[in-house]
Amino acid sequence: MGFSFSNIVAGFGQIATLDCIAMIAFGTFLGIVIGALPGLTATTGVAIFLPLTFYMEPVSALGFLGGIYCGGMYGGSITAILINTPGTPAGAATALDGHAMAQKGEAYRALQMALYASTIGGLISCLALMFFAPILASAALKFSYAEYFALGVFGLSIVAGLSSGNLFKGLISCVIGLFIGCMGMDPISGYPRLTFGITSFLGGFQLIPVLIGIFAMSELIKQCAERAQQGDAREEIMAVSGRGMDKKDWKRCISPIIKGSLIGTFIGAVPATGGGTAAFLSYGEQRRATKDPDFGNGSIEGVAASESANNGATGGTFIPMLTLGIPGDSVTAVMMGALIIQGLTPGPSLFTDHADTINGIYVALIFSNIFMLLMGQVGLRWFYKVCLIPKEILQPIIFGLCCVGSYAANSSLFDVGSMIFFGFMGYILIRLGIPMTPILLGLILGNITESNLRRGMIAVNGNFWQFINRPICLAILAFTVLSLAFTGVRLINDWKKRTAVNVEA
Amino acid sequence: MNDLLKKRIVVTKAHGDLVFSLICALLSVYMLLIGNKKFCKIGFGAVGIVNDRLFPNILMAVGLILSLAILGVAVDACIRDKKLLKAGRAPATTEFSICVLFVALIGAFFCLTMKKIGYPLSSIISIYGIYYMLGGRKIWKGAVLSIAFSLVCYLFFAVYLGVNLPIGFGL
Repeated sequence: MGFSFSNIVAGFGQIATLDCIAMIAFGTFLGIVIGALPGLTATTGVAIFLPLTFYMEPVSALGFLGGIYCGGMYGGSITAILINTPGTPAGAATALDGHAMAQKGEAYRALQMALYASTIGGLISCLALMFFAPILASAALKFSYAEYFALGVFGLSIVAGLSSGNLFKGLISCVIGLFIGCMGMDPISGYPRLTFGITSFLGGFQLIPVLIGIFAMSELIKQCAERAQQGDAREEIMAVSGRGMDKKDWKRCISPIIKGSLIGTFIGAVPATGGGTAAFLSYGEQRRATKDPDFGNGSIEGVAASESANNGATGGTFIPMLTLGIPGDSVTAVMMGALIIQGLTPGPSLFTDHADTINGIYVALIFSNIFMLLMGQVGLRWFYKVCLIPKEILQPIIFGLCCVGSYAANSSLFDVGSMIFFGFMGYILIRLGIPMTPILLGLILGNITESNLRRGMIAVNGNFWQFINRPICLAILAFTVLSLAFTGVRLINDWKKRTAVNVEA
Repeated sequence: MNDLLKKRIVVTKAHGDLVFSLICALLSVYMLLIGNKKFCKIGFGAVGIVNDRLFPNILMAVGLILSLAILGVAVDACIRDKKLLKAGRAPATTEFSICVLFVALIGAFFCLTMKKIGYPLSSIISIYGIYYMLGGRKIWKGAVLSIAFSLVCYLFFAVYLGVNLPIGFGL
């Protein structure tokens, strides 16, 4: 099951059709455009365009969505550099030095570095994915019900803890997702459960409308609300001017790029972290290591460190998603939905039952990084123009795509209604500071956690201690308790600091 | 219409959390005491407490604990907000725009009319509605946008992908 070059050759065989390569290229282009649009993240992009993949082959579908993911992570840097508004949260660290460079008239150099660092970061993380995913998957093949239950609990707890500044809100968001996942047929007995006497609830809420609702529709509603308040405010866009990169820049930046790529890959592989965390960690590490007095005020090293890390996270986030069925970040959480729609269950069995598809996904990710480099190079001077598209044109298109996309899955108007309901609910929860990603995680991981808990407990006559009394299971559960305890301690410390500041004020 | 779209409800974050946690706590208590028993029938293959209700019961118990925790934090924040107001400082607020109701209404219109008047017409009207809500006032621009988008979508999803998008009017 380990890595071998024959896997890559097999992967090339999987994507060697015009359709597949065209879809990867199209996905990458869409990703760059979406990433460059302030307010639209890679997660939103993947959610909006997910319905287009229903009728594609699995490798084309995952390649298309992987292209949106990689392109979206890079696209965020364009607006971060030119208008100081990161297109994606992961581009926020890039704005610190990138925009300062643009103000000095070095926008072209900053954009070039962002592109090259993103590509190298993305490629290194793809290699890490190819090497480490099969190893982890082969270890995970020995897992039984108890370990899967523990992994589910771990995935839910860590996402809730890390996705928000407020532990309780993150966790209750998870509970909401788990509750929604419980509605419909019971996974063991097949009896209707929590349907509240409504026939439409018998099949439960479908994953696609829910995720389009909470990630795309809620964002659209939020932007409509902001637009109604603020009117048509346009940002000042810096000109793409100045000289390009030279050999000296490469010499200075190769170390931060490699370091950033490795940090990105590692952080990406930790469930629920993703590109944003990776970019700031890498930026912080470079700040510590640099001798450049300009760092923080327009240093090219800052752009290299943050961009290599946020694209470095792309391959890393696939590792826990493909091997354990636990998404690395919100984008891979949505992509898990795409895998499930394609009839593939994320987890170690993917590596034995659908090895060809997995190899195809590796190569598709490499291709999307190469397309990103080519398209970025060609469009370096004009990709920023997508920011000039008026919102009254863009938002209705997104609305239309959300509606038709949620209908297309099952030709069901109930799905369109659910999408609108969850979009509205998502808006209210966003305003209340409740994170959205744990809801989706609860919805996806709930079924795995519950089924394994109940199957395992039935096998030991309902004795919970006997069920979890396995070394790996206990280790994972201990790790879960520790991570929650750390988040709890951080929460208490933050609360104490806030109280102290208020008292002083 | 423009003024109506700009209307919003502003509440302090603490009060928002208070209301949210109270709703969650009440729902959890209802589900634990009544809802789970009423809406979860126990199926075959249950062993002791390991039945259809096990997971919903665990969820609601955890949900209740978390709601009470958020409630506690919200009450603490309310007390702090009062002190801030006394000191002449404004507490943190969050706002809910009225215009989101219009987006929901447009969505509901699309959902309810699609079978009757067909996808193309309901899509054109809904997309024009969103265009208008976002400040688009040029009729020709909105018409071109909504008609072109609906047509492209129909051709792609219904003709190319074979999705069963209704034409409406019994056709």
